[in-house]
Amino acid sequence: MTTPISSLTIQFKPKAIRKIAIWAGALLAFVGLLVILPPLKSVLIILVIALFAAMLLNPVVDFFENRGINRLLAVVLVFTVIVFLIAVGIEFLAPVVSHEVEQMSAALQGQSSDQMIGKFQKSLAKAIPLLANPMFQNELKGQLDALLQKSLSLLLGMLSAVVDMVMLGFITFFFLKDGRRMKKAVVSWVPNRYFEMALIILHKTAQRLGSYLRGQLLVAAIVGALSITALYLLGIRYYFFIGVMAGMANMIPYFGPLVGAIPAMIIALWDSGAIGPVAAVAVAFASIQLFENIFISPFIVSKSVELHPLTVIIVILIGGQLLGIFGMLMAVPIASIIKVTAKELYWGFKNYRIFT
Amino acid sequence: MLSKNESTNNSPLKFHIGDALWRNVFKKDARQKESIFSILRKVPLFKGMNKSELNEFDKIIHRRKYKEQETIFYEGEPGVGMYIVQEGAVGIYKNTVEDEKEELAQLSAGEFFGELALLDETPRSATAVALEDTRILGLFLPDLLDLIDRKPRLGNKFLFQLAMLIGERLKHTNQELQTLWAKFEESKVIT
Repeated sequence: MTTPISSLTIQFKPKAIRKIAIWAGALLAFVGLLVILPPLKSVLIILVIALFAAMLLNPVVDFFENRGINRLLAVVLVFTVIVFLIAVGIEFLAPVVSHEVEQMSAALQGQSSDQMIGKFQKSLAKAIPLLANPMFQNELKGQLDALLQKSLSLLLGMLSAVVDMVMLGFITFFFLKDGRRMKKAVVSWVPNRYFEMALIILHKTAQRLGSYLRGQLLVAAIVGALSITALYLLGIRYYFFIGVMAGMANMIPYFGPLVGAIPAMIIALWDSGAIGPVAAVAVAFASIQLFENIFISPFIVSKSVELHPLTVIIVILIGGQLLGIFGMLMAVPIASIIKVTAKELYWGFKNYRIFT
Repeated sequence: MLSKNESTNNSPLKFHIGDALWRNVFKKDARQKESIFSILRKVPLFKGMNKSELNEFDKIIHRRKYKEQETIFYEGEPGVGMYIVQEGAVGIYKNTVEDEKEELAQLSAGEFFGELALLDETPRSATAVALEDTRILGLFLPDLLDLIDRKPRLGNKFLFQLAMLIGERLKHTNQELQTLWAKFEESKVIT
């Protein structure tokens, strides 16, 4: 028996064709994004930081608006305070920091890593004979040279960042002033079926991330202040610069605390050539970490965006690979955005019965 | 011959572009706002609000268009806000035990629904469907909470009206309950 040809032809319904077209369009847009995004890396970085800055400052602007001040005026007021604080910072703190950085680089250039190892070796070789091994010396020298080069390139990067800072200021200003209108415009493009769900997801994600970022910044400020105090009391040179770095680096889980502790320990070793002060610095940093983990973070940083330690390590490594130190710093917040959004999307799809 | 100044000032092209821009962008926006204000004034929740207060709500209100027979929300879905019919008509339906749709109400321009979702995130108690091509204004809990945070006086004004509305409904429900109870007692006496 033969099958009539007409029954073999596949008939596409207009709805199915539309669906296929939408998916194909989405795929094409995704591929297009992959092509466009890499050259726009620096612009995207500024946009992401501006978004984070706007999230951090939004409650302050809202506070002023709550007191009856017009939003534009409130944003201008917040910006004026920030510019004033930066100016004060430059006036009073920059000489201290730049003096410390200058001294540090001069010391690094003046004293070769060989000399330093010599000092280090004398004190340590007596205690641990294994460390007198030339292989260990070479390894340590290589690491120190790399550290010196990295610190110099970081300084150059900081100078070129001034231009980006101005751009960042402009974008943050408009995010703060017109953020609500922008959000409304974005939501207006969402189809009716997903509109209410998109609104809830956007709200919950922004709320959780905002509190997470504010919490992180507060913890960083506390850790920075504690580190500066501890290093000052221990009489470590460049205590201010290292303390600030330790506070900022604290936002990178696991790796961050080492960024503050290692330079401080090297300087302690450099100055004294003995193990005692190095141990004191290590104990101080370990105590600060313990204090932060037990008493500060649990009360400030939201649990809802907590990531598995393995995820944290992987995303930090990916961030470092893609964007260096900045990538490491942004890895956890960005991974948190993805986690919160995915969680809310799952909740939305389940409760709004999108697929049923 | 016209001077350079005169020729540019009286340029018909410039006049037309300026006029069209004014008509299409600014006046259209102003007209749209005015039409939204006139709809909001019909809703008891915005009672007694002046233009600048209504303007604050206009900033957080979402404008949506629905085609005939398009569902606005389904019964059982989480609800986060209220809708006001700007133009067109909306049907409110409830699923019965026999899996059939029972029409509860038909709403036209100026009428609103889903306002209880502004107070809690319990699932929608009915399904809303556009009965013809319809324009709807949506006011949602996250935006309302944000407004209360930024403009507490205005937020309180709105919440007070919402409380009054719920109170009115409670009174109405009580009256209906009393009537039903009286009827029930009457039927008991007869039998």
